[in-house]
Amino acid sequence: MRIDAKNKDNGVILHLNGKVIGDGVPQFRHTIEECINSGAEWLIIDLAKVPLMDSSALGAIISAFLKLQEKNGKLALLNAQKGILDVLAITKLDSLFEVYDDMQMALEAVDL
Amino acid sequence: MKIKNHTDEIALSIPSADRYIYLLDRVVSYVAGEMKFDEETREQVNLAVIEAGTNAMRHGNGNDPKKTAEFRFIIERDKLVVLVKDSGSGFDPEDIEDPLSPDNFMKPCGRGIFLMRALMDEVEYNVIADNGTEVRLVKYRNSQES
Repeated sequence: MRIDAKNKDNGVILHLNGKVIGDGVPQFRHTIEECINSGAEWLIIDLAKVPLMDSSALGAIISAFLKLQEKNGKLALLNAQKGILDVLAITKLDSLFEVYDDMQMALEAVDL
Repeated sequence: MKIKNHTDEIALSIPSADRYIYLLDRVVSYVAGEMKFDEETREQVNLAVIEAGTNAMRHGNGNDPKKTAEFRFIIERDKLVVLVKDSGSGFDPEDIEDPLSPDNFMKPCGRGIFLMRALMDEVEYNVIADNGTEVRLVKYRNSQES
């Protein structure tokens, strides 16, 4: 699973490529933690090229959400595919995460 | 990987290490394709088996690559049955808390079994005394018509 992190203003856009499962999850979690520990005030996680993520990957996103919230920061999901949207609905996490299909709208939502 | 009886049953034994989940993913994808499930159903089966396999490897077998997680994919006329077995000390699935409850909703873990039950038609656990846990997952062909 590949992660491409792009710094923008005071936040980071993470472009993920591949299924976030197995040892891809610790990689994902570590990348998020590095971004937040380095001072990112918001995160956008681009899921356009992620066909599937397991429950531990969702857990990593929840942890990121909570850490950012402590700093009044924000997190947004971008371009989630249908399978992931279905899982977010099943787990009711669609009530927690903001999900966008347009980068500009996501940026306007998170960039304080 | 062993193929028996004209691909009606596929047996797989995987060392318990996170990197092999991608191998499991490949096999599940292949089997779901063989079942001629539609795309949504294939994704459901894919994720449910990944969750079961991850649980077996991480929690059942403690991510110990010397321990294997055993998978059997049984392709029947009307359904796919997937058996996943670990060699851990067993657990009571009833002890798993509801991830939707307010106390648990913000926890980063505890959604795997919940998702398996939501995505598959049947999920049954069998704790085998001193010999691990086996979970049986079933997806019916005609469930995609509902």
